[in-house]
Amino acid sequence: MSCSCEKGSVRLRRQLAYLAGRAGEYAITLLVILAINFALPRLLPGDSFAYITGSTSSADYAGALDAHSQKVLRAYYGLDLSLQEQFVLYLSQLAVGDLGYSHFFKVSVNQLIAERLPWSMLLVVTGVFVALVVGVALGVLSAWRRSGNMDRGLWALLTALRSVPSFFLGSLLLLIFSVHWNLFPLFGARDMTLIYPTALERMEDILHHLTLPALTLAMGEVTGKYLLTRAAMLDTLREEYIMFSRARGFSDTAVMFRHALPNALIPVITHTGMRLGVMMGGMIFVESLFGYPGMGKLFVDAMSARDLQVLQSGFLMTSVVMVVMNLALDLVYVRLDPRVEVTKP
Amino acid sequence: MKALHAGLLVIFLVFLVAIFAPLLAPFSPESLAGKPLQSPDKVHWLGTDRIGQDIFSQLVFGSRVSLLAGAAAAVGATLIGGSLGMAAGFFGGRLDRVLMRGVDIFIAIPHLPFMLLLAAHFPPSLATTLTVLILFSWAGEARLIRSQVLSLRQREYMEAARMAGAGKLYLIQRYLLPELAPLLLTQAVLRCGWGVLAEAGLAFIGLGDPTQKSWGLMLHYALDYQGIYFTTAWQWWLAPPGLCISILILALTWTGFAMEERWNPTLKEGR
Amino acid sequence: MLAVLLLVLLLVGCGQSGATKDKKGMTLTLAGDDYGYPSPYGFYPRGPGYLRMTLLFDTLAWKDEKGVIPWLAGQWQMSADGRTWTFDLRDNIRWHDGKALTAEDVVFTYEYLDQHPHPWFSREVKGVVERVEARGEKQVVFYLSRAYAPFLNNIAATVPVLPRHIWADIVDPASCTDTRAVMGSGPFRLTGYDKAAGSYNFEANRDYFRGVNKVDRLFFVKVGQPLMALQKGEIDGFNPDMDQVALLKNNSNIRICEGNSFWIYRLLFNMSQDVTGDIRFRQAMAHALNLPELVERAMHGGALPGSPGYISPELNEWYYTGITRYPYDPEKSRKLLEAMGYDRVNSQGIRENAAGQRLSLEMLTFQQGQDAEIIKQWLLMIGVEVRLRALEKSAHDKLIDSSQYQLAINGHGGIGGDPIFLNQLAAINAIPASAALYHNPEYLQLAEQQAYQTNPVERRQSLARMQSLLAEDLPTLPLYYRKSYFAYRPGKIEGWFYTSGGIAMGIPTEMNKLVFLGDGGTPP
Repeated sequence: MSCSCEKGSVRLRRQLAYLAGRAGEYAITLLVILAINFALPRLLPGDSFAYITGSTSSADYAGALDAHSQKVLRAYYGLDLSLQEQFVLYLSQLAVGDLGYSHFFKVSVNQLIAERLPWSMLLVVTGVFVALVVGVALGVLSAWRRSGNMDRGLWALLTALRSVPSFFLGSLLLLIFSVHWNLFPLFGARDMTLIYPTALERMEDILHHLTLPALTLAMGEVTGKYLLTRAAMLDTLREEYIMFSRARGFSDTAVMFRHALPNALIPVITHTGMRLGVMMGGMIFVESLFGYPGMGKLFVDAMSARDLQVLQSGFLMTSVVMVVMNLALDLVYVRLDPRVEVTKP
Repeated sequence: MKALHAGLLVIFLVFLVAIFAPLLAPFSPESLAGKPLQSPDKVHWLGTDRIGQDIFSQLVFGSRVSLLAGAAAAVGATLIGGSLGMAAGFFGGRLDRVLMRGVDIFIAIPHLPFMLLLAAHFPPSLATTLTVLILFSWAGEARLIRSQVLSLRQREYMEAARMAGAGKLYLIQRYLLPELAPLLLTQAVLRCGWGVLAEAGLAFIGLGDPTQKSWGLMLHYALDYQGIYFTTAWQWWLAPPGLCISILILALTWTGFAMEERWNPTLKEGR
Repeated sequence: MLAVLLLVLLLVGCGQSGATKDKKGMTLTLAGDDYGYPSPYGFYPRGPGYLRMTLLFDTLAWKDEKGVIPWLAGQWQMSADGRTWTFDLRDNIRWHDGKALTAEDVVFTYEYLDQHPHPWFSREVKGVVERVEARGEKQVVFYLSRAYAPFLNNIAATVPVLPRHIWADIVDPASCTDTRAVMGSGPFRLTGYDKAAGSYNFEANRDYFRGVNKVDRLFFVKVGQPLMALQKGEIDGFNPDMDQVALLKNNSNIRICEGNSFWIYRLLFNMSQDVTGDIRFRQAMAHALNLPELVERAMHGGALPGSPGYISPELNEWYYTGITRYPYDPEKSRKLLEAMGYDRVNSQGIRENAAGQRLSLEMLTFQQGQDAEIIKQWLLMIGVEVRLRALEKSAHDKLIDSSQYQLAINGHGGIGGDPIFLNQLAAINAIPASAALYHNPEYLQLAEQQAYQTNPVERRQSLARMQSLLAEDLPTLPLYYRKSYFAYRPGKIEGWFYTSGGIAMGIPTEMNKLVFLGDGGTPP
């Protein structure tokens, strides 16, 4: 594991080059998303802005636009300008961090996202964390007892688990744990009727509400991590340097945890990064089922009110978060790989 | 092996149900067959929903939508993803770079939020759902096929054929496609499972065609009913479509994995 | 990873306002949702949003179980020609900050509405209220452009009075979400609002002019399963739908208050098109739909079957019993369609005329609700094919506003207040002109006339004729009037009731602030 300084600096340079390459890719991705956001409402057939210019006669429901929202939205989109000018306007607004105005919620989208994003982060980070720990642990267990009954049983159970849609799984968890056993709340991220005397109680309440949604999210993610860990463990267990370690007299357990596991973690980390986009989907299902007030719920609410501004900015923000998390995972990835050579996943 | 047989059997059964739905279902899924919210009895095997439609009949006809969604995803992945992947891998060069950069970007975009954004511009219909599924099915497939083609290109017999002056089209037809076929088929089965899941998901959040009863839409309506958790209605209204979706996806997954194991020797240990 | 988790956990935990719980007194917790910041310009234009605002602000008049009652104004007089209204404010009415509420505030309110259009109030006031004058501290005079029958109901008992000393500085009222905008004169003060969570915290205003508030703290919280929350005692009340009522009926700890049905669900015909413009077709539709069964099937009994005269039988002050009725009679429907020329039936059971045109129509519906599926099945039985087009609400409304439909299903409130709402069915200048609406010169003339008939007897005659015309011509077919319910745990607040004709402009809920006020208040 120890390497000379010179070797280290070469490695560092390679890693930096790799990270720079990834960052470039992500930048292009974000540009494409910006273009989609700009183009979709303007270029699609049908007048996507008709709701702004349309009548306000049906003021009976929340989606109706009042004169104030109309004014704000017209100005925001620059509907009286040329297409090129609109694009420049759009970019300059984003550059100063102005994500627009929600005609449904009647606040700036920035404020909405600032309220909702932390809840989603909490949910997703907890979910990923639980899935990682459990998935890797079970994967190791399975590889350890490869081809035994435990291995077969785990494999069958976890592939079955992956086939259950999260919204169905979640509703079953609700039915069992909340309705029948009354162990967890049915809805929301915290008890709105309580005013917590201490920070500890507040945290307890938040965790209490978090358990089922995070569990549902994690159960959807655990199988992929399990399968990858298991396959990678089996692969690395066969690799030569493991043979050497064995030859050098390390015990089987030591080989598993000191050598095979770190190597197996690399594809798992890569996989976690690639799954982030899918997890955003899982987040939407889970949040709407559990009424969890995060970005996913925001998406569904905005969807039913056709609040395009929120949908677009939410889409942009989730993409940004995804890119940032991917970059963070790239850092982990670069650090984890003892074999220096960084190839594109 | 057992997994393969079990999987194929389930898929075959669902397929039969979808084809013979009008014969198997006692009622049309839309007809007002009974009183609202009835419990199961001899006439309505799974009871009735909020407006008195027969749930069992909906379940039978729902298999059609699910299979259709799966098929759309599989066909989209195979045709679009397969041909793009082959083109990228076989021709290489700038085409390859552009295509693969496109794939990378596409994979990095959060899919469901993008689907919601797209769907917000179109009225909900089965056609919209299928289009969206096809649109999102190809990227991973293209990447996979490309890497496979790249490794196949290096094989000696390909080199030899090329040396002998074989045309590109001939090479693709004669060597590439037969070699790729198992992988394409395996992936098609796995994408099919993804399609089933994605359709159910879209219907669940209310983006499905309300007049086309799919399993996902049944879940949507079941969860919409206020008494679903508090009465026994969940047993015959919520659980059956949920289990149907799960079992169909499981069957597709196991079949796909088993095919992978059989045809891809490097993955043999991974089952 | 764990560190990140903890950090996020702390971060989200910080959203809570630091109010500590005052254990004394009574706390009432009701199920709710986000209806916007409860300031006069901040609430979403929906009933519950308005009602939250009325906990903080007062109107000149108000309504109870029987009708309009004096509120900020202890009394008023209408001039003989109905164009001048004089209101006398009560003594000792104070804003939350202790300053006195005076006639100047009332005058200011209407000036402000003129300069800052409000989605609800300005629509009512515009073209009706010419000017408002203060006579001393306690008297206000309204000069109307002409007599206006709904004045008391839709303006005096609807428009909140704003504090001049605060609002004079508020330039952009819709986006003003600081505490100034909720500083009113009402029975409560706002102590917390969480948009994301849809929660509101109110605290009793102990200096309220109507005396002591029975409720010390009023919370509105969003609960996913209000049914269970009510049974567990986490909330004290919520509005159940019919299915939830059925589930709660056996529970002896829960009481259910059944209210008025001022939410209408109706079928719209495009009056400018060939088939739907034909009265025989519309009559055939009316005979083909079994409305009592629709109520059973779609609403499980939680509604009243529609009356072809539009006004709900429950609004008995104005409802006219002598209208044409259309009993369920599919055979008659078939005959009417045959008379239209659709006398043959193809292999799928769909009617065709001699030219081979199928009797196939598109019907706009909402994404939610399965009522349209029931209607589709029934119309199939008389040989009419209906293609459902489910749209989300704003897209749906847009097509209706621009007459781009054949058949459409629409659901809305606003049919419980002053019957001026009947005028919206016809193309009258104030409402966006629409080809699909009802064009009957007699109806239009009656609509103009009823607006300024301040004599109830004369007005009732106009309204009876309008209902008769609607029932004969069927520009729209009311399907049902949905009932309101309120389920609550007895013990804290009794006496929940439904306001006559709905609160203010006709909001059909039990959330009238009178419920929270003690009986020992200042007598009117």
